[in-house]
Amino acid sequence: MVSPATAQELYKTDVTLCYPFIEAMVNTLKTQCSIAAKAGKPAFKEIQTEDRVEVFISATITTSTLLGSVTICFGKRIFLLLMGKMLGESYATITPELEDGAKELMNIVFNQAKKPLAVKGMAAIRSIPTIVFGENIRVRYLSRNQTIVLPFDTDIGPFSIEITTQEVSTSDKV
Amino acid sequence: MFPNDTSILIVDDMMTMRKLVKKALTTLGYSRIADAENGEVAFKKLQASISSGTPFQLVISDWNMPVMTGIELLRAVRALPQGKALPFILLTAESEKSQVIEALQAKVSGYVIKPFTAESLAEKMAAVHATTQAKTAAA
Repeated sequence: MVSPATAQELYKTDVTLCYPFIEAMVNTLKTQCSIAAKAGKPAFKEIQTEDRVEVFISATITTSTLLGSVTICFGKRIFLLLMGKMLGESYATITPELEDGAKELMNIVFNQAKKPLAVKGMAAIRSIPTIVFGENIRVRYLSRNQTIVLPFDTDIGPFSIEITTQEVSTSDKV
Repeated sequence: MFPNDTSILIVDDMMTMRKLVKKALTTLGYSRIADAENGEVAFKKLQASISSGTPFQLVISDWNMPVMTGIELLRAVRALPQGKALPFILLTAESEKSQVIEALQAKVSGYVIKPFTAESLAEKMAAVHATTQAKTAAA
């Protein structure tokens, strides 16, 4: 059983990680895609929620004390519109070029978040990004802690970033 | 600012980023644009352009690439007699001070941090062009 104080501490840790990604995403969309994104109120992801996504781009980040997972979740229509705005073209389907674009989006967001994270004492290493396209995908994180959902609203529609973290324990070392 | 008929080489391993840079350059009025997927391919294209008598007049290169990185390409270009004054802009998401210093030591002309807009790229290009012109006049 986690004490309220510990739970609060874990929540704080997550939020510390969240803000750099919020700022990085808003700035990236504004600069690279001419999309004005408004960040909504962060919330814990409900395990029972029957939400489904069609595109998710995910990578883990590791600090000396923390393991984390950062995932950008889109519906297909939003993803195609966003990539279209980024590349100046219109897309009806997900092509290898857009897989490349998704990776670049993740790279830019992570690299922007890296510096403020380092300033907060969280020098992070990112894993190779994973991009999954499909239908009706249910995304769950096998974390010891809760997942935070960062909702964004834009003129092309909503999407979210999901972040989960846990402190490194001996069982995490391989 | 570089004239609109400037011959430009974009170097990036990510197809998307090559497209983004090309889109920005097209917006700025440039049309003589070629690209390469890494430093090695770019260096071959640069050498071929010199041999053909129509050398590239500006290179915009990513830093992190397989085979040959942007900084390795920059050093190789600067080692060429025809490459010593070639305007060379590094485009990267990395913003660490150590990398900026490394790039300056390798005689980079300019440095653009991703994400970028056509306007921010134009500003950097204008600054690089002005510096290049001043150096040419002084030489």
